[in-house]
Amino acid sequence: MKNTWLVLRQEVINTLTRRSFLLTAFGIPLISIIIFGAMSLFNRPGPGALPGFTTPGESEQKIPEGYVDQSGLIEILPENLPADTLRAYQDEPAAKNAVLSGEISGYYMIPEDYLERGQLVYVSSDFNPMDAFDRGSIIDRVLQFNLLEGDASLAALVNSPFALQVMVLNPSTRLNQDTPLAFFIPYGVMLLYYMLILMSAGFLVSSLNKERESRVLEIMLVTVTPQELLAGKFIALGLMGLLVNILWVGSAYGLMVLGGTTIRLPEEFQLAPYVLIWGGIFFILGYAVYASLLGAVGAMLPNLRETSQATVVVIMPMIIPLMFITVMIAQPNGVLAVALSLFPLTSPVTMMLRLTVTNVPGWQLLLSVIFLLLAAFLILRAVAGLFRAQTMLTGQPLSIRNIYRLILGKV
Amino acid sequence: MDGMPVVDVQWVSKSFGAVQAVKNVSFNLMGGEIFGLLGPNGAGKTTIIRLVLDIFKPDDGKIAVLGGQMDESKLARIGYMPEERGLYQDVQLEKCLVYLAVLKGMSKPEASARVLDYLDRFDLYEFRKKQVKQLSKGMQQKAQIIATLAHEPELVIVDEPFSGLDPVNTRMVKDILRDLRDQGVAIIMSTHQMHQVEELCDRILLIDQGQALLHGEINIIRRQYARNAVLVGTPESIPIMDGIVNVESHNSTYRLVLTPDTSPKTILNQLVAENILIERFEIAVPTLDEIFIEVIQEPGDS
Repeated sequence: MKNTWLVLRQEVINTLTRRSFLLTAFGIPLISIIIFGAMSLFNRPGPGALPGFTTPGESEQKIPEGYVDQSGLIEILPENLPADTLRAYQDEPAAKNAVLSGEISGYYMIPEDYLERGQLVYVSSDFNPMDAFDRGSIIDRVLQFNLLEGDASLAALVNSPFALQVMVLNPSTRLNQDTPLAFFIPYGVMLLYYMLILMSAGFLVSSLNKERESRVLEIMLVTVTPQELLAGKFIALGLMGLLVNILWVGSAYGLMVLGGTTIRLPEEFQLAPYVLIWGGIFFILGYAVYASLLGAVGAMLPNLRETSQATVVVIMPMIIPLMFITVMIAQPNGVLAVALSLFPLTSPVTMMLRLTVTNVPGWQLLLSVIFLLLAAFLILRAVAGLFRAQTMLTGQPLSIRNIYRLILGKV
Repeated sequence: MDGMPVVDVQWVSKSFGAVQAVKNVSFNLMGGEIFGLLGPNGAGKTTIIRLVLDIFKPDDGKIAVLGGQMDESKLARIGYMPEERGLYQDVQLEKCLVYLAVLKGMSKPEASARVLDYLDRFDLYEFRKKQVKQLSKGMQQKAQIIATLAHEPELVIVDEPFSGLDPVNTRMVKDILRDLRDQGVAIIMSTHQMHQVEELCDRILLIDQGQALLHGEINIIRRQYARNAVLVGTPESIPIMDGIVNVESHNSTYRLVLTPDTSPKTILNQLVAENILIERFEIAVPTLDEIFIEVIQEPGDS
């Protein structure tokens, strides 16, 4: 036990001082935060601007726009409209001259029959596709304000009629399928856990290979038992994986919360904290299963090349949910999604996908955890026979016969 | 442990698939003894060492280490330096050595004190904060020796301990091994350097293709392989005499190979009778190098 603790501690120190680990663990969240921070800064409303007039790219909009109101609808501009954002022109030639002289970036032509046809014309000196995204937002609010006879409260309510608070009664409630986020958020969560589990299990394989290649393994195997060595590494690298999990998922969660205010992420796409807790549980159990399998591969095979080839076979079950992701997002409580979220080799990532998309019944979560625990226990017991000094030092070619002989201790 | 062998290997065999790496090898090692394990490359020396250390399990035969079957409780009483050296390359030298000593059961303060003492002895003290990978090959070799000995093992197994060491450090390691032997430590030394074996070892086991070819005390083995020959040191030339088959000369020393029925005493009498000035006269005993080559080249003769 003491040696396991010493190996564990040393492995944690070695991992935490490795540049590649630090870059992976801290670099990725840091880059995401920087990108998101920049976006947030970019989208920040200007001083004095009120909700409803804040649009992406507004901070860059320095040149005002103009309008020619032939309908006579616009009598008053909202008080909260930033100064010199929208200029009125008597007629079209005046507005056109203003555009050509660079006073305004373009102007809106409000025709006499606007109320009948609801059409506006926008005239600018050149075409900028980036401006097209937010074009019309200011004139839209100004027209709305005047159509409501200058009632600012009513205009605000028309602009944002309600604040949606979701109360879930039916577990089959799903995300709004009409938005691309309904695909990308579950996909992202699934991919995140796929990467986290395999990366952490990969740490173990890489650590074993590194020790074999640097010849430390032989020294270690006459210093501690193979079981102590592997238990220390297994727990240490699991903890390191958990640390990466906390950093990545924590920063992703933080960014999504930030996204709620910054990029107006719909509330239904903001992950509930319980999803993160389940994420931790499924990560630990998924790591236990895959680290045992990959650790056995790392212990058994003689070199990195063969280990890499065998790893592809071992992680194959984790790829299956990725292949059916569209079906599972469309039917998160369908037979396929439920089956894959209960099968231990696919459940860690599938269950995370379902938790993001829908409310998973408690019994399914519990059953999935029980199956995973059972699988982790059985796999660990089966591969324990592979963690022997001779196997680890000499390596054995990968074959069913060898695996059978190794487990039975006949090599 | 007095009187009991520290290592007792009896009729041990080990195969890897179709290859029989060790065939019915037996030897034992007492405390306070340096035992030489010799053999050409691929002879099975490393396999025997790994069998003793319980890294490999024998197919046949019995191995007792430190008074019984090898188990994990005995790991801390053994110091092992494999032929292929290995230390944690990215770790500071001192930390790496202390870590290994603590794993072997020493307390941290005790391990630190012992490691610092050894680092000082091996002139590595000023490099203690360097990463292992920043050290030269010779320095890493010395560090490996420290890792093997720092926890004061009762059984030391060293594979090519002098490789990569300069003459000064070679002498230092020899002195340390002799000191350990005098303290009662049992040492198995596997090496190709026969003169080191002659200098240090009490007994040897010579193996080839997994089989023991020679086993026993060095002096007895050398006498067994001694041809009927004498070494004569003289500034004069030696005339042809009865009973001499062959004469080889080197720096005023003649090696006279005698006929089987001629005794050294007869030759000495003849030389005196010839009035030859004799500065040195001794029975010619072959070196281990010569025996090694002879036995390996013609194993049937042994």
